[in-house]
Amino acid sequence: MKSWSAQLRKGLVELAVLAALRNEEAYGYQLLQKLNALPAFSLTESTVYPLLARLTKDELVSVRVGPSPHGPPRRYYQLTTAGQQHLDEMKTHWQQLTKSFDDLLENAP
Amino acid sequence: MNAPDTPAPTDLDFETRARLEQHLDAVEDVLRRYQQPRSTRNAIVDELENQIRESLAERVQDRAPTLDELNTLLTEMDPPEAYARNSIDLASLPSTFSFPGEDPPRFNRATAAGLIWIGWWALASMFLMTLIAIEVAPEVTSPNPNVYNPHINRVVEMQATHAYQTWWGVLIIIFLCIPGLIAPVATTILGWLGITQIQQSADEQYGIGFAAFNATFFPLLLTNAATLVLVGGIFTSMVQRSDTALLTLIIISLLTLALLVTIDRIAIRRVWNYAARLS
Repeated sequence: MKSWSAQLRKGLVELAVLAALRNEEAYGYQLLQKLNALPAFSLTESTVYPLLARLTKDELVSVRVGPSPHGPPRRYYQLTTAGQQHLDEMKTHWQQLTKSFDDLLENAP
Repeated sequence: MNAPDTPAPTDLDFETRARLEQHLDAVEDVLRRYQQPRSTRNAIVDELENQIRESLAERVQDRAPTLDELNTLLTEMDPPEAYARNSIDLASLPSTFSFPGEDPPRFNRATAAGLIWIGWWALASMFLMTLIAIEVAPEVTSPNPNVYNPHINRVVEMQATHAYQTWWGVLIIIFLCIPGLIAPVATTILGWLGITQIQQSADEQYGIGFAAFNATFFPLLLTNAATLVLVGGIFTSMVQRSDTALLTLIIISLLTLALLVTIDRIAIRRVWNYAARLS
């Protein structure tokens, strides 16, 4: 059960990160805190930061560098147009999937 | 959503800073070993440093964090090895949701060209040796092999002609052998080009082993040949002064073999270590 749950979360990381950036930009640690605030969806930095780097490379998010009071400059991530389209496609797919599973689970004996 | 901008802690003391950098270096090392490009490594390590410093600042408020506090924080965070697992997972999952039109990883083209060129070189070498070996009989090149030469007032027998001296031999050399014989330079360049392209492709291209092979094949061949020629010369000069030629031959052969294996192994290992990490 634990492994299944971890696999499910792993599959949803990209959707979660893009969705968290839908309305406002955020820097890495801030995004991590926001995602960790979701019940039953804890993520760690070794998952989120490599993903942010890949999303940047894929031009699904853009990066703006801003000052940090504590260390290296903060990297603020924002959805690009391509990222927004990608999120919309994922969202549609996800909604179809959850609806199908809701039906399946509700009708299960 | 903004985290509180607490005042910056005073600079970390030497030990604490060293421990922080050790952790960041360990993470970067893992990312490098798992072939993440430099830009990715820098982005991830910067994010991580920000997180650590901000977490420390939240905990200690307006004083400098101690080494123990940093160590406590690090034990609560992912160990460097976790970045290996996630690097593999993320690299092997270009997108959590697959959509039509996404290209699968492809074999590097420069590497493929290099491999073809090595094959061409082998073919060209065989053709060239054959052309040099074959002698074309006089009757092939002339209707009469024996020709009267008025300058010396006698009949002379025409010399046999080498195949590479014929028009078709020249054509073969131009169109097959010359491109094949520049393979040592071309393949080596294509090998290094392939390594660089694969490294920068972030797993969108593969074939790093073949690219390393292309990069090392001819330089090693040349090195080995030069070593053998050198050792052969040394052996010849030693045998002239020695009564135990067979024993000398065996010893020198074994030493040469050991030398060549060592040279090849070091070279291959260095190239592979370079190829296996990302710039």
